[in-house]
Amino acid sequence: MLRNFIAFVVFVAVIPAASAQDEKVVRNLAPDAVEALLKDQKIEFVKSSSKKGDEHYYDFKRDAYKIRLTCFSPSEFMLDCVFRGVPIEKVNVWNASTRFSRASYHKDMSGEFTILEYGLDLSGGVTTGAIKQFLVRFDEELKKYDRYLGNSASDDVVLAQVSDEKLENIFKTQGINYSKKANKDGFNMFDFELSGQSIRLYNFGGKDLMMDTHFKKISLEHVNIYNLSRKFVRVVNYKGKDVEYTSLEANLDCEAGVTEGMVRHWILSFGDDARHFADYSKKLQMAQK
Amino acid sequence: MNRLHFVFAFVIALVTPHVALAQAKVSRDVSNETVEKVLQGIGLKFTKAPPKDKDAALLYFEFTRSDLPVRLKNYGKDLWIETTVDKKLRLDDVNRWNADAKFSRLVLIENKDSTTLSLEAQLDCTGGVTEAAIRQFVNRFDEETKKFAKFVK
Repeated sequence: MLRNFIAFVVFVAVIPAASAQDEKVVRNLAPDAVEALLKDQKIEFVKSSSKKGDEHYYDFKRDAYKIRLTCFSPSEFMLDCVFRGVPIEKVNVWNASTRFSRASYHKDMSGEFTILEYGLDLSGGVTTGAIKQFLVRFDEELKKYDRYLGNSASDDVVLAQVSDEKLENIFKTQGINYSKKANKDGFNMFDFELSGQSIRLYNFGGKDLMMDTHFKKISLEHVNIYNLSRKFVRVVNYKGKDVEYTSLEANLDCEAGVTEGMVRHWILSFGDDARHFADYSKKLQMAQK
Repeated sequence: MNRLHFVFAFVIALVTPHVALAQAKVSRDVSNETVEKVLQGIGLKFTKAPPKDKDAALLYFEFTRSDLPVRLKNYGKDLWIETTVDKKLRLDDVNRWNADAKFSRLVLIENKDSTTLSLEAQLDCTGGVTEAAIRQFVNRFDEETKKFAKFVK
């Protein structure tokens, strides 16, 4: 009984205090206030600014979504996230049915993509709570939009081969930063980070894709145990010029044709596999110490 | 480009696979009927067997290629193909296969009273799969099996 009473007193004392903070009305937010607000929401961001220094950009991740908060001015905010391409008609249907966000259709050298945007005008005065809700609501909109895009028609078009442009479009629409270079045989390689691992994707003429990620060498016994327990990947030990290492690999045979959806799923799944193997490798290293 | 070359290029463009490929049906799981259809299309004589022990597979399809027994397991969302040989190899040799391989992996399975080598490959269907991709998966594994037969001799 006493416990319940104490809990009630704490509730009464704490909640209004939190609410009072959220009820503070602002008409503009300086960059340091924006940063404090993001930190308060436990959002880890990377900040950049326009050349003139009047616009500020905050890049961060929420689940698998790569989001940018743009502060055009202290009173004009916008959140956006890049998604895969769908026909412009489908984008229009979204815009006609949604209440808060809007989607836009774009096309560049890599192909089609769409951007989901959500703006907030502070100039009339908004509460801090409303700004937090702006971030939360966008999270919900992202998930809804992702579900809405679902398995779009373009995801299911079978491609005779996978072009570098198609891969670049997939990276872009998954919010994956990559660098591209050609190997000595003229095939392109894409380096990127997924699930905290550095991954390289090789495109062998659009007919065979391969990804690998390297780790500190583990024993062949543990390599075999890992291969026995997993699907879709292969762990191999290699002797490099100066160093021995363990590699996690996966190949996608595109000879019979693949869809964008298959390639996207293959890349993202490998991110999960890389994280899983990293944990396995870490546990082995810990056990050895 | 002379006129003949142009006509030739035009004909090639018409018969290029991407036209037919674009019309293929994409599904995200595989029925036993689809697997049967693909195996029949390849001209393979197979038998069907229920999954062993607690294996979550829907059905096993068993056939012979390169004089080796091959088992294709249908898990609905993914396919698993394997051939096994009762033989012991050093893990260095197993690793050598895996270092050279692209579309398979080799594992050593040590039981109480036997040692088996399993050559295997998996096809994840959750991102989408076509009958052509399943056919390619089975045929590609046939190439791997041929190489493997020489490797373990």
